[in-house]
Amino acid sequence: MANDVLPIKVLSVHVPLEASQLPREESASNQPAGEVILRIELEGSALVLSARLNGKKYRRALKAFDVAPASSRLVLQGWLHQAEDGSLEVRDAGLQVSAESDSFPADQGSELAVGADR
Amino acid sequence: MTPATLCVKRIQVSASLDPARARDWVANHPEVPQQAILELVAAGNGPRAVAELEAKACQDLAQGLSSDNVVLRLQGTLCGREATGALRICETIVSVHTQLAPAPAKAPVAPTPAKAPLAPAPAKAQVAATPAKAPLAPAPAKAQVAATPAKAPVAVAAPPAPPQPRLEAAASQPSPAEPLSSIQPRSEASPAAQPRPGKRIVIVPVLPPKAAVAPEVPPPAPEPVRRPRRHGPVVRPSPLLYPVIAPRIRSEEPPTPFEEGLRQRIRELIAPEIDRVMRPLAEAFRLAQQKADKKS
Repeated sequence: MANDVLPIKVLSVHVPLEASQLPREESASNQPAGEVILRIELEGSALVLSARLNGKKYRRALKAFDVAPASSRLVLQGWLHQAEDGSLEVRDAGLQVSAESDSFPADQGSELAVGADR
Repeated sequence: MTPATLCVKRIQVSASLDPARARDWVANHPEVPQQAILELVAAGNGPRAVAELEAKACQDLAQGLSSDNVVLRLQGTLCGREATGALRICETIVSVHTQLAPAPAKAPVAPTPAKAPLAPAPAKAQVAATPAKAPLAPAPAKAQVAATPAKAPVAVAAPPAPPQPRLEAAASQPSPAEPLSSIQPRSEASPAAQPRPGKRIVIVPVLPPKAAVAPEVPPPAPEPVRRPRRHGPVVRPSPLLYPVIAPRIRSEEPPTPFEEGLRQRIRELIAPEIDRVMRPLAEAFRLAQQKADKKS
């Protein structure tokens, strides 16, 4: 089977995160917000993504999640880029808090509602 | 900063497909394949990904492209990497989104017709000439003021011409020994005083009456007296003494011995100066007074 090449502009990434895994010390308000760097490993493979998040926005997202943790979920979004050393990084990464009832494309098989190409 | 490591079960990716390139792909496959592999190449420094399309995804892709104004979106899950380093996308689905119809091309704007030349502005109606103002009625002649009657020329009593001395006057001067009171003018001479033959006649010129004499011109103001120039230092009391002296001078209390001595000392100092200044002034004043007396 021959590969057909299709050019695309960019590959967007959506990573559902477990809130319990997120570092909380970064969100302490007694420190400068700075930046939060996350290293995301895909289970069962050697695929690793790195993402840099704005500290202030990270704190805000966690606060919003803590309001209703049972009915919310956290999603990391961004554009997938490849660094010169071959590693993958998520640029313009952001942490989104959405309701649990929101459809998620892979889970539900429905159309993607978020993460459109920018 | 140490990165926090998270282990996730799934990483979802999505990408928009170029409809034109997708149509090319469909054109190359007259029959919808049961399985296909698409290599997605992101622009720039983007990663390469290989997506495996199942039969349903291929069918969706072929059907979605049958209509215009669609956006194809490929979604899947990262499953690892190929040996070539490309990312592998599993569970791929293709969704078709109808794009909003593009705005119709704007009709070419017809060139605006050239503006008709502006009609010449109507000539302004000539302003009717304002009627000439009626000539003002001549003001009633002012009643002529009755001419003041010419003043009657004041009869000026011309001073009588000095009587020419008669020839006899030269020959007969009054003798100084004779009193003037005894001399009378000829006209006023009493009949008793008529010259008698053999008697000497003394004629005295008649003096004009005093009233006819022209009024006297006021004497010119006396010339201002020039202040003589001072020579030498002027001794004056120190101004520092004024506050000491002034209150006592104004008051009615008798001066104390100290003040009296002070005044005496000041007088001694000032008196010569006053004398030196006032003496020429007094002299000049006296002379002026004398002149005025002489003229009067």
